[in-house]
Amino acid sequence: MSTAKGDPERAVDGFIAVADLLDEPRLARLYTHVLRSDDVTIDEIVADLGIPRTTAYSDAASLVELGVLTRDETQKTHTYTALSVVLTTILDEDEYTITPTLIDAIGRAPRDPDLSLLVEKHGIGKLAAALTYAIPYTEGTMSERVAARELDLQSAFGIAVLHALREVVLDMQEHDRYFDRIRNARDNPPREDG
Amino acid sequence: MTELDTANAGNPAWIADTGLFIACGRQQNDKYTALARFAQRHDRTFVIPHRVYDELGGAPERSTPDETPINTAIDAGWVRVADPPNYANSTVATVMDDVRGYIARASNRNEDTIEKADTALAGVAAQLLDGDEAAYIYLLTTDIHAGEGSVAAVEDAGFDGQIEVVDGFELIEEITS
Repeated sequence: MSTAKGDPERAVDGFIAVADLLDEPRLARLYTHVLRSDDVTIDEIVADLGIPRTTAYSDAASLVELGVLTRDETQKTHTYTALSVVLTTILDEDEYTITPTLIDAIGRAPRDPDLSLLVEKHGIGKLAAALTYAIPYTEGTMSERVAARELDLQSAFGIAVLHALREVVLDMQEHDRYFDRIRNARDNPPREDG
Repeated sequence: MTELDTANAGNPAWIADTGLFIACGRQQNDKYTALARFAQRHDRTFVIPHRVYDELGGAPERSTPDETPINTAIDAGWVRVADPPNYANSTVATVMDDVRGYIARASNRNEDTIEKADTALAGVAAQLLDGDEAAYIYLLTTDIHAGEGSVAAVEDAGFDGQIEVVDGFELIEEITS
């Protein structure tokens, strides 16, 4: 993949890579695990994630192919490193910046009862919206019930989703170099006509 | 050392918020068992606003709050549902109004977007103190910022030094580590 600035080919390939990660929680989980660990071997991935070796090999190869992991082949045992991805989508007046933190939330969803229920009932867009509340919530500047109401979720379920995403935020804020670019719902009250 | 082990005054009450039960259930069920054991070992009853009971009971199927055995806890005696806040009591009404303002400012929202029910925790605290049913309040919540608003409002109503927030995440960490 070319790295020239303003390269349209790279931009579109990057969009497809991010879309694939959003669509495939298994790849998302592997990607953010490598991002947090840095320089990991297949053996370590297998041990940490508890996935079959063949899956680890083929998924890591897919992520290298997508351009979001690199494989260092200079050592006898190959190691993997993740590249931080960031993608800003703009649809009419609506804008959202996707960073590894959202990808981490997607990777966790199948194993988390509240996140999987959220995605099943409301889609990935709602998960992305909930993350914008989980950030100020984790910082202690957004109340649980205000967030639940604005997300249009039943209070207790909304709180459970915030708790799940709080773990994502705490784990990712140090490793996601684009963390500050994620929208913060505290700064953006919902539109009156919403 | 759990903060709750140090009774700052005689006759304390422990008011628990929805998030405390969810945080226990989300981890593993053994954390919920640990909370029950903790309450029973120290002979404590967690008081919950009716709002909390309704929230846990109204959660969608298969979510963590839906799986929370709150009725079992009530039957076992370590959780009790509080009397509804008496809005005719001016102390209770003032505290609840103040908490609304606090939550709105802290969350950067208009006060009219904060519902009265959001302040139920503080309402129950004020009612227990005002009716001399408790002399000291521990607020167990995972909504730290709403908890702090409750403390400020209750103290302003003349109960200075009679209430504190206990971070639900930290409490669970402590009783299960």
